[in-house]
Amino acid sequence: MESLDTIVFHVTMAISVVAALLVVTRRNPVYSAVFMIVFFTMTAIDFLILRAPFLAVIQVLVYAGAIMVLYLFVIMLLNLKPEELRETVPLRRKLLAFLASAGLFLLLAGAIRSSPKVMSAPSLTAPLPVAAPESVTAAGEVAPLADELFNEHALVFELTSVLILIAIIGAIYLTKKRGTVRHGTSRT
Amino acid sequence: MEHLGLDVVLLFATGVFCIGVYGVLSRQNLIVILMCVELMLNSVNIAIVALGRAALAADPPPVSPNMPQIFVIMVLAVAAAEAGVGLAILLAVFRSWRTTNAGDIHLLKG
Amino acid sequence: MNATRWMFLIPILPLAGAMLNGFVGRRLPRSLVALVACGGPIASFCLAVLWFFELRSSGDELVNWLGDWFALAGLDVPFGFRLDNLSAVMAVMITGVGSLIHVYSVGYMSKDAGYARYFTYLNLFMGSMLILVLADNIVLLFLGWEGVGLCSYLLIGFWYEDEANARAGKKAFIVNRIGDFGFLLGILLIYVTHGTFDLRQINTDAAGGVVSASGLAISDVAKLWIPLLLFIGATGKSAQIPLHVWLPDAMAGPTPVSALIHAATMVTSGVYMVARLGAVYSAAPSVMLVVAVIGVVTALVAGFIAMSQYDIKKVLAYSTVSQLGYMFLAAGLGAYGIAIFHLVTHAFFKGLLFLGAGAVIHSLHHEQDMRRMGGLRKELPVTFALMLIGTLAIAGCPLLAGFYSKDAILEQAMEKNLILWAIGAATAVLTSFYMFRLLAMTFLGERRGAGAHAGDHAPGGHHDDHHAHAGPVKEAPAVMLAPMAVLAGLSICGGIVFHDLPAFVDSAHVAAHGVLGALVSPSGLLGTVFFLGGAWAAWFFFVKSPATREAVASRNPAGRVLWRFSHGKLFVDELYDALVVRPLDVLSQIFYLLVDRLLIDVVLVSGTSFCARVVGSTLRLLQTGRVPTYAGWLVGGAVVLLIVIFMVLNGR
Repeated sequence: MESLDTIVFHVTMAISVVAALLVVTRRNPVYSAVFMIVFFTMTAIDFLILRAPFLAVIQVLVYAGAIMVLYLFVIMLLNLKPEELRETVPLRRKLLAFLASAGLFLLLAGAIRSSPKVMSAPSLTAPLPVAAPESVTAAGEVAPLADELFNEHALVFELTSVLILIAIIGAIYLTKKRGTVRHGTSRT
Repeated sequence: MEHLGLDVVLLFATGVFCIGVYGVLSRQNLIVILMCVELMLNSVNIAIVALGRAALAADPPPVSPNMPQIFVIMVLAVAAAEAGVGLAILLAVFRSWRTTNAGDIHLLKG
Repeated sequence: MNATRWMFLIPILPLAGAMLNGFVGRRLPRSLVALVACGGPIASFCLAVLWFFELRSSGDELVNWLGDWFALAGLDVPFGFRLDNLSAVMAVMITGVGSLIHVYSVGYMSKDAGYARYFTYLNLFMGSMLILVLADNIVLLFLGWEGVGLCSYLLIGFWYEDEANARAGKKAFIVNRIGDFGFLLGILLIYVTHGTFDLRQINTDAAGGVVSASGLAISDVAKLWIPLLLFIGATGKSAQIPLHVWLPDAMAGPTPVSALIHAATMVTSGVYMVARLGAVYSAAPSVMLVVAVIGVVTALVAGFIAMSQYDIKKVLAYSTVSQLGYMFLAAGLGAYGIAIFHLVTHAFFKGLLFLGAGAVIHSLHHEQDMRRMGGLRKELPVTFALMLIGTLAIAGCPLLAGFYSKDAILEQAMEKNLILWAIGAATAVLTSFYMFRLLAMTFLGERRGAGAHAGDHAPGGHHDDHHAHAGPVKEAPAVMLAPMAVLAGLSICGGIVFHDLPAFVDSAHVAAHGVLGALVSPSGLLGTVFFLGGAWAAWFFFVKSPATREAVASRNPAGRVLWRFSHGKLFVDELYDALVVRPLDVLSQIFYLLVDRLLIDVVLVSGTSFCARVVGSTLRLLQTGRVPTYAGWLVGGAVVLLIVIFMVLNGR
């Protein structure tokens, strides 16, 4: 079980990285969106292995389901032609972007590798200690998660609802049709 | 092949994050840029969940066992809101300039 | 009468008039403005006379303590008035002459647009002057001192639309500031030495040679410098050499102002101050000598300059400077009572002469050049008669006011220092000469209209391009002549009536002669000779034989040089211009170029904006308006931040 989890995790990691790379490199956003879905699904599996079953479900439902469908919907709505999708990014900028991200990666990797706490942490797929209390063994399941979320973080939760409400209003306001706006002029 | 180190997962998350950064910097299609942002947010989620999983084995646990995952739920909510507003802006921009190419949109310049 | 606590009304009444006219005068009818303006000084005059007789009968000085003006640690300045013999004489003289000139001004200024403004300043001046005179401490005195300086400035530049008038006002103000600087230093030195501002206390301490509070002897330095510094202030205010240059220019103001401020009252405040602090001066014989020498030299020089001026007011201005010199001569000889005596008589006849000149100017529609006058005796008989009285008085005609006061001064000089007496005597001749010259040029002979410059054509004589208005020459109205008549009466009998004034003011004074005794004393006889000599010379040169004058002034080389120096006012203005004004101009030009233009304008102002522009145009390149660029900077910033954080963590 333990080794299986580990193997699966490694496989999902590999697929995730490849999918992420494909998301970034595809010219057509439809493909990007499809590989996004692949990436999110792999992430959901990772969450399962990392003892977060509720998050795994949410990941598939909200990300892979709702958000990416929204993306695809928009892509279809815009109905961009291939020539409109052509990008003219100079090689120099691509190189700079690569250097920046690679530098960031090396920096963070160095930080991770040099942290004794991280390096000495036990295997993530190892079973929990036998003496572990129930709150630990049940962590990530729906009931204790809901219990803590709605009891201790009720205010934050409610604030989140306000945030989403604002986002909805903003989205409606932005997409509402208002007269004709000439090309190249800022709208007020 | 049994050991799944925390460092491996964190490096993976970092890697995905940096791929997202590269995408934001190198792409011009606004939709793809938004997707890259989602990618970055997700990689952070992975890192948080992995750290939370590692915290479960620690004795005593540094945080409440469910805390990291609640954090992730919040990030999810923010990501959903971001996607909604981001796509709405994208639509508005497209309506004005008939393009989703970030390179062509430089009227932000004052 | 136990109402001394109302004494503050004397200065307050004119000040109240100034407030009223200043704030609402523009909206009041002229008659009401005049009523308010004249009412204050006249009421003050009545009060002053009342208390003067009270003082005379009781012999005790009247004190009106109003409270503390300000009190800091160890520095108490009270606000109080004291009416003793000296200040009572001054107060009565100021309010009396002031009231007359206010009444005169009603007629003189009747057509002026700034009617209310004029009377506001004039009342403000009366109030300040009375504060100066009645103050019981030197700080309050300084308040009045500066107040009259301010009013003088405002009234000289009263017709400020004309650049020259505004310039004259500024000149008076600046020259006075130089004197006031010394005065202020003197006040500070008094405080450091005596520890009090009270005038009576300062005098007592100075007379005793020790500070009564501490019992310590006053140092020689303080003994010397306190009167000297205060005298610098007096030279500024009373137009003595070397700060006399402002008074002739001050004639740019309305003529009643010249009469009140620049002849009768304000310019005499320096003399008053010296008399007020008599004990301080008496304690420093060397300073006394300085005062006397400056006074007598000023008297001579001003008289010399007055001989050749053409502007009727300029002659009178230099005459005033000269008479003030006499007063300082008297003060410097220790005869403070006589100085005040001459001050009072001078106020009468010089006020009369200025008002007479004003009447002439008024009748001739603002013509001041004597070369275009002459023969006015027929058209202005009353003015001529009054002016004649004034001239006789100032020139020292026996039995008239000027004779007694001037004679007293010269007698003192004869007793104490023959050199000073000789100079003073020469000045007496000059006085008689230039006054009769003025009278002859203005009233005798034939009328010289515009363009016809009869006589007095001499090298350097420049022609002002005035337009003498043709038109009927009318006698001034009664409202102007009446005050002149009063002053004329005082000029005639002032010397006899106030003969005991020196003794009243200065208890140390011993009257040398009676009223008639002065006539036959050696000094009195000589004075009569001087008077007659000067008058004869003026008559000879200006009436009998103008040709001789021409010959002396323009053909005789010595006469020509003298004439040039006299007419050019000894070129003091030019000297100051070259020594002070020009170098200052050059210096400020240098500072203007170096500091203002180079350092501030170029380096600081333009430099700052240049830096901002360079930085801005550089940073502008960052603001491409392209989202990816911003994202790039975001990442770059994050990387740098992370590096810094790691370095800090590792370093710890």
